[in-house]
Amino acid sequence: MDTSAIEKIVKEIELFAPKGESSHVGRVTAVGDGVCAIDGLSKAVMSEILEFEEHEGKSLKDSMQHEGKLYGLILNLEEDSIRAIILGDSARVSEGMIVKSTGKILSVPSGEELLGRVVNALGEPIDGKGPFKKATMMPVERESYGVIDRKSVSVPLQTGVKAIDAMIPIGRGQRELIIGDRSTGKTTIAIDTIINQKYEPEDTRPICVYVAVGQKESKTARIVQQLKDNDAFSYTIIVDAPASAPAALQYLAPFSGVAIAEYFMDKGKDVLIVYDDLSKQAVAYRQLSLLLRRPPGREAYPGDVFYLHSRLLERAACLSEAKGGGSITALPIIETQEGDISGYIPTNVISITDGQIFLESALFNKGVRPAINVGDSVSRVGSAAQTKAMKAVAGTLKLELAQFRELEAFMQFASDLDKATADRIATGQRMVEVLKQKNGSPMPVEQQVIDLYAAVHGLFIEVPLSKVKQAEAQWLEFVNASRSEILEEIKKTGKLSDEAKLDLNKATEEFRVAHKELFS
Amino acid sequence: MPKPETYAHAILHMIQQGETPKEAVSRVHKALEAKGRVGLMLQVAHAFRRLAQKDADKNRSLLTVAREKDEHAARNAAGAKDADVILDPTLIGGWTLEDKGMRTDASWKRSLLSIYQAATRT
Repeated sequence: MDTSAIEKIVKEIELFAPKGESSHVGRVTAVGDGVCAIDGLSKAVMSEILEFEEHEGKSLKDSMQHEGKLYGLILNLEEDSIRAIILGDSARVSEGMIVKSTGKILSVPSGEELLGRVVNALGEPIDGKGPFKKATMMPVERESYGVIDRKSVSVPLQTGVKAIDAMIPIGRGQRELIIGDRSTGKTTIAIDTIINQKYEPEDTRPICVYVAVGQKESKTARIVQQLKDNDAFSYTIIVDAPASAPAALQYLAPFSGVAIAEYFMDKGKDVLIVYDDLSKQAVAYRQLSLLLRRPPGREAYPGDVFYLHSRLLERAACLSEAKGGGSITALPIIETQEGDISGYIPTNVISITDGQIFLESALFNKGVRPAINVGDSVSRVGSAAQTKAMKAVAGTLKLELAQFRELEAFMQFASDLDKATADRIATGQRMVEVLKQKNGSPMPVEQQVIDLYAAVHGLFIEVPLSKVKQAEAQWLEFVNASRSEILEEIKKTGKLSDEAKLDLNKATEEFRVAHKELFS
Repeated sequence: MPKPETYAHAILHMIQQGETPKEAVSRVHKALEAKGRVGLMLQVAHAFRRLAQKDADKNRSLLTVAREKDEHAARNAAGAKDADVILDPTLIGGWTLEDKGMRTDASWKRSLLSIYQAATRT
């Protein structure tokens, strides 16, 4: 113990005059699997935090060795007992243990101090960088904003993924589901979106919150490193409830994440929150509900599993100017089994969100990455937030790609196809190539516009399929070097003027001449 | 279908309302007979024992002191003249009182622990 601590203790001893501290108490009657039954606590309220009194019957020395306080959360109020989930190691709870009522609803710390930090589902730092000093406590369960407090989505949230920004645009305050089988690139899209926010001006850059539910610790560590490597960690907060954490914490983590996000939204800032993933949260909630002896419903999920997700996702909002104009954009992730989007949890979340990005294993295995199925993906409100420049270049892209997908089946009869069909297939193939993007390389919106402008205006049609990516990179380099003012204009105004279009047409001609080797 | 605990609750409630135990039990017996569930009476008896014990515990005052000689002072300080007393040397000094679902902790252990926690919190 250092001298300052000793001095503190001496001062406290000098002023020592023990006073009684009163609290409502109950006793644990049964405990197991992270859930306990408690007798007494007749004045307890739903969602109240309880404190387990671990010091009873233990010597002072043993009590001093305890690692922090152990809390519980009331989830069931029954006729003559209550049931609570244990927010920590349930092995620390024993039958007969005293439980104190705190009179508080669960809250987590939030604030600027949390940026660039990793916390658990209770908001406690787990990155070894020490506790928070000036954090504001935010309630984990809070009613979402009402209709009057909201406004329509109007500002785009750039993901940096061409296929999304062009065809399934997302607006700030929107809830866009990312859905697909395992290993189809769901997390990659979410992380790329977080990384892409570094291209936004600092004053309007969204704060990012990544909530990892039931993930491997190694995966979360990799994500943290990736964000650090891309200078994206300074504006990101990670809420981690790994697969090894109790089900109670996996159930709570998304709510803690959104509570942290609400602090920034209430201050008028934009926030992007990723829930990775809600199917694991639903499984944790099912486990808790069964242990709490709530009646099971479809697939043994409790009857309120829809409400679990709807009350979480309703907290994503685009607030009116009167409320500060902040927003929370939610990107929930759902893992499907064998591409079945008609499962219980996927359909629930599809119906709650404002659209979905559907990722397909077949496309992924074909090398189309991001493996977005454009036909099944939709953004219900995002088009209102799409920049004019992007709208101008990507207007018909989705339709053309959908037509290409239909014609794709005839590709094996290429020799018998008429010219119009063959051209459409060739264009589609090149478009698919252009929309391919490497993991961890989001593209700023102005570059996307230039890239897609060339693609929809047929610049790559004469380029062999194997050279499209090379041609695309060179085209971007060419425009960056010779027409940087167009990029600046798009970045500043979000528009692609007629003069800029004419200039780009000229640039395509110059590019053809300068890079003859690409056009065979 | 009501559980044995529900019938036990009913018996306790009737007794607390002034009925004699015999009357209360006979009314529950009649109700069970009408439903053809007289076999449940044994379980109702067990449930009643648990419930009555719980009820008695709830109304019991329990004063815990660290040393025998502290009892008088603790009774005065806690205002618990009729409380049952138990010894718990781990309290070091002071007392704790459990009464009607409330627990007052005036033990030295709690105070020393809070000093330790305040001093070691970084």
